Amino acid sequence: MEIPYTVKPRPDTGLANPKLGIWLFLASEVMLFGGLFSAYIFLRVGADFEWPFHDLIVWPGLTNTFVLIASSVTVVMAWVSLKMKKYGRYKMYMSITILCAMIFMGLKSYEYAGKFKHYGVTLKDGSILEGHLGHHAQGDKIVFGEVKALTFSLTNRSADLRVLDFRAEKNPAFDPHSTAEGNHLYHPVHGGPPVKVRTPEGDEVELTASWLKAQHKAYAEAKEASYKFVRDKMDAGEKDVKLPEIQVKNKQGLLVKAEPSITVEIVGEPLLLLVDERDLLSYDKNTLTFREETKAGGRLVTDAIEFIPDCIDLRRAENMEQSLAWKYLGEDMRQKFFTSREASIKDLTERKPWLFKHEKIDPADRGKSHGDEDVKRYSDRYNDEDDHDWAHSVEHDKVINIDRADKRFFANFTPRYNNFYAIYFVMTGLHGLHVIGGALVLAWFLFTGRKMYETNPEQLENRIEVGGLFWHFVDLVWIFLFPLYYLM
Amino acid sequence: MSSAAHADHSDHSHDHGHDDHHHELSFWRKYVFSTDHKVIGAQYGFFGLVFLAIGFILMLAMRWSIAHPGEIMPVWIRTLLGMFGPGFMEHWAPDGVMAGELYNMFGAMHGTIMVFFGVVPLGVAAFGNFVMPLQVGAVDMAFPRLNMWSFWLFLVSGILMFGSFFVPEGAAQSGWTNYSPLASTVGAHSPNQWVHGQTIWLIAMVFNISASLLGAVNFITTVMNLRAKGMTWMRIPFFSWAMMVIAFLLLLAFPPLEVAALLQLSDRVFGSSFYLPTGLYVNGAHMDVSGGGSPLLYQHLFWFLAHPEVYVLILPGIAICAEIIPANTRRPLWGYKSMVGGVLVLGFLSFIVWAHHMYMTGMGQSISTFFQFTTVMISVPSVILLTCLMISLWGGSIRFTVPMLWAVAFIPMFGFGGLTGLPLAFNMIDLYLHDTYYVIGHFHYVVAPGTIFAMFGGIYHWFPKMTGKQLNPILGHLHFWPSLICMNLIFFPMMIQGMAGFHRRWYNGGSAFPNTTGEYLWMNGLMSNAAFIMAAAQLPFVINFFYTIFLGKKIKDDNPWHATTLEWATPTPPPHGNFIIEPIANRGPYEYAALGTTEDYLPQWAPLTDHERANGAVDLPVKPPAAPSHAH
Amino acid sequence: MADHASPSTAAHSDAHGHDDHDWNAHIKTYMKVGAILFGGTVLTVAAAFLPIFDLHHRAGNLTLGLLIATVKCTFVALIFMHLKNEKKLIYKFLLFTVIFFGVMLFLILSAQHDPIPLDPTHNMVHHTITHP
Ligand code: HEM
Ligand SMILES: [Cu+2]
Repeated sequence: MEIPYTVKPRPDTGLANPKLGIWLFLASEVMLFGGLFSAYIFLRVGADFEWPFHDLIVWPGLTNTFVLIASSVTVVMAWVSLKMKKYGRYKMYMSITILCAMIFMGLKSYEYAGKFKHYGVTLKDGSILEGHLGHHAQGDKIVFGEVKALTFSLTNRSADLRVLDFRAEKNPAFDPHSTAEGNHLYHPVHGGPPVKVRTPEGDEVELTASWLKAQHKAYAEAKEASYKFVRDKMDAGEKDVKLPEIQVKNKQGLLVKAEPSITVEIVGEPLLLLVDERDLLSYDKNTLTFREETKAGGRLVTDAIEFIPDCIDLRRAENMEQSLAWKYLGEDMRQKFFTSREASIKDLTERKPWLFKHEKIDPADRGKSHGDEDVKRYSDRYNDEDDHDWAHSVEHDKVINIDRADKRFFANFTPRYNNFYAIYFVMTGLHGLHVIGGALVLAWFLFTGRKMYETNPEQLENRIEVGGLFWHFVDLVWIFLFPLYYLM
Repeated sequence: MSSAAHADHSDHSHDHGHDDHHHELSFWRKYVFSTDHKVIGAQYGFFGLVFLAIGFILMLAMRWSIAHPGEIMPVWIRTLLGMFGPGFMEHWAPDGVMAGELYNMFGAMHGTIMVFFGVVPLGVAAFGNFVMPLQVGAVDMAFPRLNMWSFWLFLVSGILMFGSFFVPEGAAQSGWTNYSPLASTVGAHSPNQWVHGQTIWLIAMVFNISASLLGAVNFITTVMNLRAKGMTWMRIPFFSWAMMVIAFLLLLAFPPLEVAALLQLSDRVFGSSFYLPTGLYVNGAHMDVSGGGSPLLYQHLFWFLAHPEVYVLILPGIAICAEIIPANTRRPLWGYKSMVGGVLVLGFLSFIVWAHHMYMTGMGQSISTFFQFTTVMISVPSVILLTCLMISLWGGSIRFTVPMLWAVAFIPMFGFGGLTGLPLAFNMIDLYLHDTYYVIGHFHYVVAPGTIFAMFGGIYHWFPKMTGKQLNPILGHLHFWPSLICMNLIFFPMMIQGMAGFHRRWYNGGSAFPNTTGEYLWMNGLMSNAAFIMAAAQLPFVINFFYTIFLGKKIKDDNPWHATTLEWATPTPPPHGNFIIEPIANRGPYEYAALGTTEDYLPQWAPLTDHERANGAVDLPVKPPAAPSHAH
Repeated sequence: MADHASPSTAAHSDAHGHDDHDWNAHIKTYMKVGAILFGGTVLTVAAAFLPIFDLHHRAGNLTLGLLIATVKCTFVALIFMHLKNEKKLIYKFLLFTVIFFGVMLFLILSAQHDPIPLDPTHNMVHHTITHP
């Protein structure tokens, strides 16, 4: 059995199967990225936050554009070389293509990495501080010490010993004046020693997953016994059967009421925990409640966010004069900000009015007309590029400790930060996956093509053409991604 | 991609296709990792039926809860739910009573499984894979290895979807539509988002969509490029036309759903806010997200797929009936050309009606009017298709074989479903009926006594070709008649309840609102009992199916229904490579009661008759002289 | 009808139908297109930074930038992807793809921002909520 038209085109359609297939596939890819572009436009048009403008650094994106265009040229050259029966040249061009893909992905990961390290805090009044985490004491973690009791839920099926993974220790040699790497106040303990606890019944046990599992099982069995009683009665036709108390046997072999959770006391050194706020359901001065309903009892040491700001963004602040930002940055900074802002407004309205197509600006009317909105957008954001002194101090870790009660939202520049970054990561990420996939296929053709070149060159040409079509499509998508994210 | 192109390559000289020069394949390659379209079709069919059964069992439990809220489920339903294994019911329904949470889970999974894992795999992937290449006279699908990948991706997605019942917080609970923000926030507190059923739903869907896309590329390429000699566009049987249109719908409409799923996945696991508006409150607390997104974006992306998807659900039904009906009326399909035109127009229009599911969202008036207009317009091609089927019955000498029973029942049932949909097209009426049982009744008439009936018909029709054995007609009747009656007893009262204001997705069937629902509550019991009887009515089918496969007698005839399309020209069951004779199409697909032959049918592959020659038909160049089994 | 069974007897037209072709001419075209793409990229960047339009309205820059991108895209599709002399069948389904893409983009957007509000008081736009 042989499938026709795998290499030669079918006369009436004029197409060989792979060619037809790849174009169909590309049609569906158009709809895939089409859906994403629609989402981008939809989100942007409806955005109720300041859609970032020129926030991404242009040069890596620009370089990547050149790299992808170059690779598009080389992949088509590889195909022509095959057509001209020049295998050596084909190999060269194909290798360059794959190299381009690698450069592209390299730059991409460089860009991504930068965003993971960049944070923004939206304060309660809408002011935004951007910058980096201080890493000397707690960073963005909540420090919770003197943990002497842990409570595990026996009904929540997600309950496990994750809480132990948050253990940390205090560095006695910490020097607050040193900026040396590794000079941290709190150290996470990775895979620390086993923890001994005392159960409600007075036994001392080691906290292990199997111990917790046994507790869960005992409770589930006890519960099932009570419910079975109910089911049997109801099956027999009884109505309104009351659930008997759920009971387990205690150490003495007596039946006692089963609790839906178990609290254990830590034997020995109390624990110190370094927790991400997002791992918690809630916390207060004396209790942490984790998402799996595990509770830790102890004392809150600090929940401040250790932050090194390098940008103040007051475009959405309720009142710039009394912004919460000044609570942390001080009077000095406030003065500077407003001086710079006035200069900027003056510059934009008097010297570069064509930038905004408006005649006059009256600060009292700020925000009413479009042109003024734009000036506000431009001037109410102040960063270390505007201020040499500040930039200098940032380099020297001018750390502020932001009270968690003052923050409305806090995230690094990942999809969580806002929908610009969210759609940026999804689209470029999916595009990156296409680059990787395409490069793998092309590499496979490159490394296994020799034999086919000798036995059936036409099929190899077809393959390269088909692979090339995909590659060009990937390039095409980037041609739109670049201006939409980096420039416009 | 090209890597999937058939690797071994012809040397252009030998006469291939007729000798089975392939060495014997191992069991694994032959039945498990097979690239043969018939085996893949059977695999899809098997799992499609399994998933239909699972979806059906979930529905039985739901129907119990609707009719008997708060009452313990009877032992037989609990036994059926034993399919989840030990521990499941003990956790989710410890007292044996369906809780609202469990109902939500079952409801969401019933919809999802029925649509994406039952009807589409069976109707499109199984029938399409098995029948379509045979009908167009191809040796296999254009990309057999892609085809295998498609099946395995589907299976992975099915396992993930079913497996999501067993994670700590259970399966998805936000309806098959998975609307945000609900679907983005359910279980947002759970420690590991990746193992929450709501997240797994998304991942499984991404796999499912990928499988569909691979299948779609394959289907279209096969119809376009692997047609047999003489199989011009207007000689392609309607079934294969429909499969191609369906494949286009899948190809172009599924990617936006993939986008919808990926964005929701990002919302769930990376904390983004694509579908989460600013200021969202959940469980009495301000949700810790950036906000700024839009729930409507999800609905648009979802319905951009999901409306074409409903045509993916019903077109296989129509297409199967278009094959069964001519074969059993012994008359040509009436209006073949208008049906082909109709299905193409339908395919096109199905892309521009989606927001009729969103009238309630406060779209602008002009845009609502636009969607209202296109929705009404799309009923035209649908009516053309149905009318052609109906007129095809006219004047035929109908043989009421079992497949024909299903096909004949399909027409009024689907018609009723379609007509009850028309009111929903109108903005004003939909505002009232939206999310009521009227909608549930309407679309179930389309998919359950509609598509499902047609697919049963298809199974009875093509079973002899797949297995070489004929399903028992008496058991077939025992399957058909109770199913027909029960279906109507289940779904007709839903229309009444819906108009009375019964809301869908009520786990207690409206008993909590006796002031509004009181008068109509009794119908719940009627409907549920009908559903339970219908479950019993499927037993004859199950028995028939396995009995015939294992103990049935071989049939002698390759073409037991005396049908005209090419799938009946193969040996039974068709071998690897399908045809022994070279498949050709000398004429259109439905030449029943044709001139120039003494029989009442003239297969596509039969040599030209004198009558045709006299009308100018010329023989196609065929190499082997071997006569087809039904040459006349 | 084509001889289905053996491709060798099928018309020996390869996808481009010109083995005896002057490939060097092709190479020249490809290089030219490459140059256009590079140039276009530089223009796009210029369009974004040169104050030729209302900088912070961005509408002008956006239009221009996307226009350049579209031109670049056309070159890639027509020449690198050989759409210039591709078969009719492919044009047909690509046409529909593009239509559906346009439909998706336009209709989704206009469902939110009604292009022809019949009754302006009824034009509900859900996202006017500001920060709480
Ligand atoms: C005899 C067969 C069937 C019966 C008795 C049945 C019954 C039901 C019931 C009772 C509901 C729940 C209504 C509610 O609570 O809102 C439902 C929902 C649904 N069913 Fe079926 N069904 C059947 C077959 C099918 C089939 C074959 C399909 C699909 C092709 C299907 C698709 C759906 C969908 C999509 C939903 C909506 C789920 C949701 O609310 O998200 N059903 N069905
Ligand atoms: Cu619809």
